[in-house]
Amino acid sequence: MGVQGLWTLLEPCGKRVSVEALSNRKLAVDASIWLVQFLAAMRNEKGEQLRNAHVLGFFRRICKLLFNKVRPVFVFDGATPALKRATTAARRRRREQQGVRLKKTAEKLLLSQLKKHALEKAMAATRVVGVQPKGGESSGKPKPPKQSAPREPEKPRQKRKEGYEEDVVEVLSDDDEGEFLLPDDMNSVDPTVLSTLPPSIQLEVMEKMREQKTSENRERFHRASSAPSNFSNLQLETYLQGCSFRKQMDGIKDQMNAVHSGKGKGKRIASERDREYILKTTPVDTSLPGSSSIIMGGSRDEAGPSSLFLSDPPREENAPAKRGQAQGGSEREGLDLDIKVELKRDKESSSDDDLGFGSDDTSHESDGVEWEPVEDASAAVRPEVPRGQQAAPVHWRQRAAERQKFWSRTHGFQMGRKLGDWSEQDKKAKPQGPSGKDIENFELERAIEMSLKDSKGPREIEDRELAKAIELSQAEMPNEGGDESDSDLVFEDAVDGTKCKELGEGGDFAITAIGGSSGGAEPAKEDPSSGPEERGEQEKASEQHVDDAQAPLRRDDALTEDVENRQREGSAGLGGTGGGSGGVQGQEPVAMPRADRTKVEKKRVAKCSSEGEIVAIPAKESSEGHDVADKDAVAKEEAVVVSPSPAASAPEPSSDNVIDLVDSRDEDEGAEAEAAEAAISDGVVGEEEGPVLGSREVEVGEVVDLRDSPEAEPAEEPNATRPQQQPKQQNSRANMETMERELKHVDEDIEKLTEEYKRTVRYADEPTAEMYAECQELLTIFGIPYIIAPMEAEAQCAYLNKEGLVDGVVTDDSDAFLFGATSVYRNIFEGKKYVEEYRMSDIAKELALSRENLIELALLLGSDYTEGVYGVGIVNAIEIVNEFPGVQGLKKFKEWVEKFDNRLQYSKKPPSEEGTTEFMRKHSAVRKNWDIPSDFPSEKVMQEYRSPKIDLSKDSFRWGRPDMQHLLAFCAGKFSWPTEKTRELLEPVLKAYEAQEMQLRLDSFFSFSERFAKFRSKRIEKAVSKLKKRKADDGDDDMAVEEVAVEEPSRKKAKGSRKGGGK
Amino acid sequence: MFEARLLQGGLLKKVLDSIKDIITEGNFDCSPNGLSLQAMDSSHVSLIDILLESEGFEHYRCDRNIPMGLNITNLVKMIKCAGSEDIVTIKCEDKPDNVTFLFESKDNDKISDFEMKTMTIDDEHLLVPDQTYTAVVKMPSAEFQRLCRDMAAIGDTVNISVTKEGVRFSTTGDMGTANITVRPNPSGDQKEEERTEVQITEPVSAGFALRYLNSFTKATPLSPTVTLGMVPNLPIVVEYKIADMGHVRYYLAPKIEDEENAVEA
Repeated sequence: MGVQGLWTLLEPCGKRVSVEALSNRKLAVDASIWLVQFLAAMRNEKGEQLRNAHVLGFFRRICKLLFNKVRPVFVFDGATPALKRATTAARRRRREQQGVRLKKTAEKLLLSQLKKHALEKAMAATRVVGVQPKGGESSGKPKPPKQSAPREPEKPRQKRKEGYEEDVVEVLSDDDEGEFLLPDDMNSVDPTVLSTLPPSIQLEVMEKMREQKTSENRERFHRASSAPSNFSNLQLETYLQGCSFRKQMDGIKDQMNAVHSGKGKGKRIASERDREYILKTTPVDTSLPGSSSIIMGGSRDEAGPSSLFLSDPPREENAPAKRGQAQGGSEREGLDLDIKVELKRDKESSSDDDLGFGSDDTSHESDGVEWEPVEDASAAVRPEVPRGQQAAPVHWRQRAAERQKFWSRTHGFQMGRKLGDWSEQDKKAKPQGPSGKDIENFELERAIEMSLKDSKGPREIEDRELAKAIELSQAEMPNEGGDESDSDLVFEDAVDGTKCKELGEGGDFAITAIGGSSGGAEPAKEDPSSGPEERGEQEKASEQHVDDAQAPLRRDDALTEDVENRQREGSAGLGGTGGGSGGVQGQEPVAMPRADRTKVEKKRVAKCSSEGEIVAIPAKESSEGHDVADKDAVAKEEAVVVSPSPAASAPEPSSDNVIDLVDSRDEDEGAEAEAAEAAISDGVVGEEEGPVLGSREVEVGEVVDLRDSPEAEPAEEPNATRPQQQPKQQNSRANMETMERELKHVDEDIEKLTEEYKRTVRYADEPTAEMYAECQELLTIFGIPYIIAPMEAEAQCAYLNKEGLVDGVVTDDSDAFLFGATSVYRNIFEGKKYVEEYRMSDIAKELALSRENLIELALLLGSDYTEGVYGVGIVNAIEIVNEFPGVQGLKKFKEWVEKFDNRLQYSKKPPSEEGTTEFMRKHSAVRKNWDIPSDFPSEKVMQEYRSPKIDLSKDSFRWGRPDMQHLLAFCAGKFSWPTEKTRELLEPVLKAYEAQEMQLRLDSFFSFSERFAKFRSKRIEKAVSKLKKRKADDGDDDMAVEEVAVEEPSRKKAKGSRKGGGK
Repeated sequence: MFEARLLQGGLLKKVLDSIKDIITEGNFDCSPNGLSLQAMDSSHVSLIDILLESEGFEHYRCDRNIPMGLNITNLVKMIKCAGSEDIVTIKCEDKPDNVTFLFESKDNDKISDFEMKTMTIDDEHLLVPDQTYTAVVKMPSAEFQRLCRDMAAIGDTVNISVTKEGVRFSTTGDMGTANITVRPNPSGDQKEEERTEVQITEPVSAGFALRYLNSFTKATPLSPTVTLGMVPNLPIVVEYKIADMGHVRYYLAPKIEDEENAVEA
């Protein structure tokens, strides 16, 4: 911070120096502001913080310094001086205000986005209507509004207000026309025709079709719900359709990805608004997309943005090599697994009975806790309450089975949401939150795991026997067992080691990722990526693919049981609530590679339908070649067939809007209907502009939702009614124009708000002690000395500078001069070639300002230690310092300002009183606006500057060689950089460091002649020249005075430091 | 008011060529004594000092000191428009916003004038102390140019050590080392310009960046001889005398062994 506006004054006497000129200088680097800067500045285009931004920032800057052969000494802030604390408190208040503003902005932003979306839809509707006024086919599909409405994520939300029921019919027809004109019969869409369309449109069309389809299906289901067998047949049919449809869509998506990535194998794994994460499965593209890509089951796929859930965390982007390898490993594993599944499957399923029991057990209780609310929630949305609730008791098993599939996701989401929320809260409060809470979760989990080790044992043995029976060498078996527990442990360790980091990241990603939903998926994904990695390594060690295949399977079993036990425990003792076990659960599934996971699910489905083998076979079949998602779907289908339960459609609602339901599950314990509503809106928001809003509180969504609806409605109403009866084109055109205008407005609004959001979000973060520790670790690896100042870093820097321990201070803080620094380098990291160099000697010469003068300026302008005189800017300040020299002068100044306005007197008198009156005359009008603090000129503040609490050690600094090996590891850990990248970055740095010769500068040989500072303000120039003149005129006298002034502080220093020590 | 008429316009070209690699902008100081320029490169390692004395001009008028801040890159472009035989006239006001360049062809059949905007450049005038150099080497400028070029092919830094016996240039690079010794030959029958002379009161040895030396040799066309002046632990001066006009001098700070690093390594 420094003294406000002081840089403006000092700038004219700054010099632009080549960066090279810094070579071999010892510079004290004030790193205290860096962290704040990094947190504020290192953000992506959406204003979210980058991962490990602080370390990365440090890394870059250190590299730059070392490359330029600077010998830096980093100085960190220690304790905050009492004075500063007061000022900081004021600042914090400001920050809190900012937090509030942030929230408001986010809300506004959401509102605008919704508005925009609504308008766009309305526009599209009008356009289509304009072209083709007869939207006949909507009538071709008689959809009861009650059911289809909730399918449409956007409309119902807008329409849910009072007049909802009445105008739904119109709305719907409007909707249908608004999107795309689709043929009545979905299946009649000729794929070849479709394929001629651009992929994006294809996808859109397909999605529309799917949407319609779902609503249609719902209706059919409804009708068939009385006859269970019919119902299940119907379901099977629809599923098959859905599957093929989805495949098509996947194909298109792949195509699109291929187009985007330029390579055919890319798979979009997550996306934000203007960013995509593409996973390229290089090793085995024919097989499933890796064990990590399976979270999305078939039914979920219908839910839309499945790509969001597929595969690895977005980090993939910058973490390619190592992770990629790990993934390759796990993929192979998965593949092998599939091949071997056949061999093992039947035996397994027979031995898995107790598992089935276990899962029944769990689902039973967890059903009550968690599933029910969802039911309610969805019921509230669409009036199908009776069915849902009737179904619930009868087919709870089935649903429980389905539910299991969601389990991990659910809790993943829950976790994610929590993380998201936390990180949201972080911004408002303290950043320590997430890691703390998560560690708890981890510990909980670990504890459970430990306690379950025993129960795992028998299962393993069983498995081993199975394996033997089939074909495997016995020798491997114990290894396997060891392997498993090992890998578990290793995994735990890994988690342990990285959890803080990862969770931190998780938090970040939660914000970054789309809405709360995918945000949930991400932290969950963090772990598997390290899990399989570990496992992959171990497996490689055994070098038996067969083993590879089996190990997961066995683990699978063990873990399945594990899960169940844990569930039991979780609900019985530990968590007490669903949420409690939820936390555990959310983490647990993560421990398994995804492939295993799905299999567990599959098995469960099988068991629960008491037809394990039947299910197992199709599962096998599909597992051989295809997407695991497919398997999932098929398995599910199978299950559906076997147990003719209408309630099997219970997961249906979630299939459309998993996200929403998950959200609602989180939130709706009490207020179901509202929460569900909110959740849907939230989910939609998540899809649309989630990245911007992060996992916003549901309430926000709701509030906005309610607020939004009235606005959206008028825009849409006309179109809703008109197209039904031969529309008047002119009207609609006029309408369109209005809407276009409106849309433009909204667009502008959004832009503005996004800007504001970015701006505010920047300053809502605060560096933590961990961050400091990480940066210090980095410094140590680089061999750079650092000190933690007793109090202010810039004061310490200034001292080092004054004592000649360093040649200069690198800081953006103008305080440094006040603390006695002699040369300050500013903006060292801004430009590429130049650095601004300020020397106290120049300041004294050009501006005729001594350190004492600067302190006086600080008193007037406000700094870290004082609020300053309100209303006084740099120009006035320099004039005041000029007119009222010295501390006594400032006292006089105060008297004058606080004196009764006697302007009249002055104006009558000629300005005779040695110029002072001239200033007084000129400023008498403004002075009443000046608000002088009561303790002005505060002796304390001056004291703080004159003798700050610093480390008086005069030991010289030593620099070490950067440790390349360490740095490689560090970068790999923190930034997931591959070795080559780090090397590439560091080599020039090391080379520069090692260069033996040193180029001297001419500056050290020749002296500069007089330079003339250029002032921006004429008034400053005048005041400065007066100051100079006065000092020159008074000659020796004045010099003597100045010397005293300079002498004084050093005398007081001793006293002051003692005082400081006492504090 | 400043006005100067130079018969050999080509000279101006050569002068600009000699500095354009090192600086991009500079203040030409017009004074009654002549036109001068002093500027450091951006890294403050080298300094250019040019003096074109008023006597060298056919016509020279300068009432007071006028700093003419010019962008060298643009100035070079402009001077390119002049033929090498052209007569160049430079004109500007006391506080110039523009400087006028007038090119007259030798046969007086073509006159072109250009106006160039001036710029405000932070004046960083160095006080170069008048130094008595303990070692002065005078050698043919072409020889020096060639030598520097050869050296630069091998290493980054040249070590110049001057003894009574001669001047030894040596460099070390990745591929190996190179040494070139130039012996004084005052008694030879070569023309004065081709002689190498060494005046020495004390042996000197110092290392310099070849990158800079090579850009100094761009001034070779200005003078047949070059003079190197050295003092232990001080910048080297490389001077090209412009006949009847003045000089172009380059100062270059030495490179030193980095003891601290050397110890650590």
